[in-house]
Amino acid sequence: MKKKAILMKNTLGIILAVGGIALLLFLGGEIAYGAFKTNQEDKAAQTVIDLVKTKIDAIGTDESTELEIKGIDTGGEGDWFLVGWNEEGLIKPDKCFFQTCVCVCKLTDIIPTLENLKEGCQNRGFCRETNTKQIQVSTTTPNILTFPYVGLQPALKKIDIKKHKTQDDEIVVSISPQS
Amino acid sequence: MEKRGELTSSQIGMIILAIAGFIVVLLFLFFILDLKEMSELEICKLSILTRGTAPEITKRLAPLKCTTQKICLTMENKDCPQFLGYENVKKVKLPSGTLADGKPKASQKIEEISANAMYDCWNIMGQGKIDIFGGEEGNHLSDLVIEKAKSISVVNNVEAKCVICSRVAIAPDLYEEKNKEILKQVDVNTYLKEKQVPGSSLTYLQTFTDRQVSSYPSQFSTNFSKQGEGKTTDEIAFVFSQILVDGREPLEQAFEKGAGTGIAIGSGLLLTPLGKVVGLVGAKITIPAAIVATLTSGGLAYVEAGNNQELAVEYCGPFESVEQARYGCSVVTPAAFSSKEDLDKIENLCKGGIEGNL
Repeated sequence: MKKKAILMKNTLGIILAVGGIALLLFLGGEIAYGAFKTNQEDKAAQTVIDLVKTKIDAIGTDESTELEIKGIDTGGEGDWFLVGWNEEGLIKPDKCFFQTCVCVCKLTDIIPTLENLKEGCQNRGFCRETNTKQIQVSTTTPNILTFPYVGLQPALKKIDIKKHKTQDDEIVVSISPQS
Repeated sequence: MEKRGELTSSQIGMIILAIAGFIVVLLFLFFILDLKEMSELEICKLSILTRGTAPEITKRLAPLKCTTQKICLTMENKDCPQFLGYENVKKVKLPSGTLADGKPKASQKIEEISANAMYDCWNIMGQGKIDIFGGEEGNHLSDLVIEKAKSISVVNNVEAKCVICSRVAIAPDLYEEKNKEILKQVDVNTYLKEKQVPGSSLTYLQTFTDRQVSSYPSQFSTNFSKQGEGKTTDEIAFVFSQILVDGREPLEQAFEKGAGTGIAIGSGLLLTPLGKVVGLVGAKITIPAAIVATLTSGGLAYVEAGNNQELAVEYCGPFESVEQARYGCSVVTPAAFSSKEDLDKIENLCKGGIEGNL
């Protein structure tokens, strides 16, 4: 009788311990995998913004170029957007406060309005200064609610990048997706 | 007198050996395996082998470190505007002059570069025998576990995934009137049939078809020549795509799935609408890209030998690197990479996604 009781007690302990360890391992794995996925997305976003910046720097005034990008896979959790913030704009992320800049920013399940994109770029965005007075980004399907952006959903896309001078001799960069 | 807990000499020896081994591995990682010094191709190959040998559930955790190789073809050492701003662009200055048969040397060089781009792509990606992409990806570890369980019985929901191995672009100087003949005389298919892979006694075609095919069937050649007046492009991408199938008639399944993704059978022969013939913008000349021989890797061998399953299995069959039997079809396809439509076609072929850096 006594032996059986000891056995039952130990068995229950072992089951609980194994269950606890399994749970801990699973939670640890989830956290590590989540971090890995986030890191992969961020790396892809940085690759895109670096390419855009490289192309902007590579062209002279009144020149244009094309860029092929393959979008960023988020596994359905939000989307990444390519947006531009002008030096003179009032509403913009702090990281673009002093200069015109181009950013790749993530939004999760919300409409890409000016305010949302500002927040998105500030919280999870990668920005590069363009060294130009203005930047104009065109949306393929403009919407009155949304701020101009190029969607970076996972698909091969081609974007045009142009640089020109205004009448006031200010350099403007235009970015527009080919449709 | 031996004290309790005292280490024996053999235990001490083992510990020393273990520490020494650990140090040797560290030294190897830090000094010998210098990733910065490795070429992009070597890094890519290493990452593919890592994925191929990783257990199924952790396959997606091994990143595919493949960057599309960019090759610029020029006569006068000009840059390719297609690669403006990119680093590591391989510029190839084409030779002037003609061969004994009157063919421009530059044409043969273009053939050589295209054939090698295709061969490198096929070779680095494991010749279709490595399951590179694994199953579906998820945002949570639990997704991987669930997907793993599902993939034991169902693989039909999996779409083709791709890597763009290389992009070959034409510099503007090749469009010039004086160089028109160079592009006109490029014939990659004949090159693949006649020339040997460097360091091998086999031709490219024999290598791609596992020695089974040494020349194209006549019907195939006729079809191919008819495509000579196709669309033109100033850039070609060599795309590796892989699709999982469940093992029964793997090639046919790949076609079924491929019906909407760019793989199709034309006139009883294997062709891809993606790049039946790829030509060049500006010069209004078409170059016969190596589409035909591309799909010969599995396809032509299969068609040529009727229903010889063995031949198809070589390239459209079980993977060698996974713990359970899984089947897949792999293809290297040259595709125009110039306009938005070209990109859409590639996108359509690679519905499961494109991996690696463009």
